[in-house]
Amino acid sequence: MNSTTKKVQWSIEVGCLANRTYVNQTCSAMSNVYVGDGNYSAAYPNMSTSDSYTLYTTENNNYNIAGLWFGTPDSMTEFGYSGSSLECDIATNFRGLGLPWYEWNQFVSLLHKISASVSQGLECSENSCMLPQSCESYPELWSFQFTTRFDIATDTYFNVPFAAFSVTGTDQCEIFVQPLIADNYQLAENAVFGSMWLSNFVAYFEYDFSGISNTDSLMLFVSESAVNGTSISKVAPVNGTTSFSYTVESQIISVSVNSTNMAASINAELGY
Amino acid sequence: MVSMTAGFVQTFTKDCQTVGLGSTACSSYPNYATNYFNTSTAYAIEAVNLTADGYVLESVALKQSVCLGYTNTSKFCSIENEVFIASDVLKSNDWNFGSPAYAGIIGLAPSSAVWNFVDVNNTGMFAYYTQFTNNNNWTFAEPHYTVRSATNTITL
Repeated sequence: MNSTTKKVQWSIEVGCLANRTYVNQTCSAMSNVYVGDGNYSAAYPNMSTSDSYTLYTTENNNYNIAGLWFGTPDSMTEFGYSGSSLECDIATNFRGLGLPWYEWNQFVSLLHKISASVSQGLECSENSCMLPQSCESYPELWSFQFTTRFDIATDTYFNVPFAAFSVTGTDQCEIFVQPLIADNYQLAENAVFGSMWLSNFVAYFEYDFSGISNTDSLMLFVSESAVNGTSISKVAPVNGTTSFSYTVESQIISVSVNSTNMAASINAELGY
Repeated sequence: MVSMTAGFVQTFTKDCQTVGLGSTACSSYPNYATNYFNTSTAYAIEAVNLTADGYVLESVALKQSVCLGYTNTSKFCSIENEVFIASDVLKSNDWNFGSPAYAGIIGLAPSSAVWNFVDVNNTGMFAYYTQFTNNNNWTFAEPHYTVRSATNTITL
């Protein structure tokens, strides 16, 4: 701690995590952690010029999410339901984007509505979603983005390209948007913004121990190694459904009745 | 492991056990923690339950001088005794199943004891700087994925 100002600062820049030729991203910068009261503007020359926004934590050391959208910039769908609220943890030891079960199901449903090739090839598990061909084979996906609004009182939106959560492998495209399942996880109520999200920003923390007021803050600004399209914008998402226009074939819903215990169950494919 | 939101310094005890489907050492699959801390050498304050960075832990709060540094080289040591956490039960590993838990968590949230002994000299210089090519021990789905990772640990 700086004994004069009673403040401490530290920062983390995750840096580029994967080469993604389908969005013209090639890794060069490495990750950095700085701790102490050094010269951060020298360490990050774009600190003062890049888009930035300052967040404050909740009592649980999380961050409020006032809105979370998925879609193309001209047609986005907001997650959640009327009256729902969401907090998120920003954590480097979580790989991609973790969503509670309800929101994750919404996400998978939306993915199915992007195109026939995506819908027919998509397989999702507890760890990721997989497409059977390389990410280059799905150009229709890479205009999509996640948009997050942290503070309902301020019109500032974090736009992170969907590509930031993808990695291409041998004839496969893996998408690290994961469900946080309450039966399996004790920490399933909040979203988790992991390294793939954070890699697009530099996180600069400043804590004030002077005791006058709680001004502990996290300033995020766009990293030089961010996926193209990352921004912290004042432009609100355009709500719409035109980016999700593919119609999945109709599914058969089966109803079974158990006459012994007088119970009925309805079965259908997930999420269409 | 460095945590952005944990307000404590935590490590695993020598006899740390994972509970659940088959009790096993925390150092074994799926947690791969470094079990090493002997709690008998420190002053115990109270039992605490922690939830941080995907881990749910049963622990004891201890008070002792703490040093941070690379292996066998202490970089920062506390001037006074500091509270830190030693965990002997790992109840849940939600985010890093199968990936190393390392020696524990160095929390960098405001309430962490770290801030009591980092940069005490007010030099105007960074107290700590580390550069790494990735911050996770990634377990890629395909073996040929390019691993750019080294480590994200600061040894306690």
